[in-house]
Amino acid sequence: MEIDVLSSDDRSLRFILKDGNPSLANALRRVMTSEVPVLAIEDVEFIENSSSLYDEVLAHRLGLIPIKTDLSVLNFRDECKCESGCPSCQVEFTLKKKGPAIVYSDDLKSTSKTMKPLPGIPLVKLGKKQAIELKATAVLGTAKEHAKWQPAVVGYKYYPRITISERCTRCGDCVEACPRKILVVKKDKLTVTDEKECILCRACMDACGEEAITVEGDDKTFIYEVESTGGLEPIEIATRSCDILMGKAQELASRL
Amino acid sequence: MIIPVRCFSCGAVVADKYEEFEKRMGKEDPKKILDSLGVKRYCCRRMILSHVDLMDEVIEFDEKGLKST
Repeated sequence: MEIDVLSSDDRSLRFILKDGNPSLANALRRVMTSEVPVLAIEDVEFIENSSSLYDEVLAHRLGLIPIKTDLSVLNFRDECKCESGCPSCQVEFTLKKKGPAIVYSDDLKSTSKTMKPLPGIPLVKLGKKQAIELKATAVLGTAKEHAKWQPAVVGYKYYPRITISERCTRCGDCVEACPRKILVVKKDKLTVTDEKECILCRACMDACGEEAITVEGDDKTFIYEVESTGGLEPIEIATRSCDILMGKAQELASRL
Repeated sequence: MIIPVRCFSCGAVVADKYEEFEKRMGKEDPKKILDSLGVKRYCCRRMILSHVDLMDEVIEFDEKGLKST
């Protein structure tokens, strides 16, 4: 099995997985979305809330904020050696604001220097008589338990294989039909500019009167797209998911 | 009421993009705004496009019963 990284930055990652199979490809996707641990706010203690949102609604919104996570220093709270929460299994936040104002995720003051919430998320709007004050605790978790711990949105598709046969008359009907505009007639020849951009819709096949073009998905090669919600770097999500999947396979092997 | 933090379907964060969308709305084509904000999927796009912000109306209503602090 081989991996080719197409593009990578702090929020998204695109890569090709070669010599795989559909079940493995999906297992990897599912592990990335629901089993890689990340921080999310779990407990909220309200000191004051005269805002227009109920405590529960506000707590839910707080839970959904992605928090930058350093997995090298954190444990799951129930696996930690401490009795009731310590800096190596939880991160605490405080929030205090008086209206009129919009409360943003930036207003959460973290006890950690590095683990901070994703900025710019409006939590609630306060009128001039309203105010909120609260304490929140974030812990590690996985999206298997609750979607707030989902570290990434991951999708993949079969690698598109486009073949153009001798029967092609260069009529240009498929060029018109392609929604991704990846077909061109150049120098009296029909060519594909970037097959990776193909979405396997087969509009070109329907448009072709000569049945000269075929589009098929290669079920051994996959193009992945990993879009981080902001808690972890996408590359870390991908590598961690491989470790988790390996761990599961080893556990199964050891119990057989 | 107020823009949901994440997309209901896929879980991507949409709330941090809503204010810029609102600001540019009316001056630009909504398709262009969403594309430039990096909102790719139609599940996330509908979160922003179909949202009706009622927060200000609710605050006004709520504050009638509140004492000034």
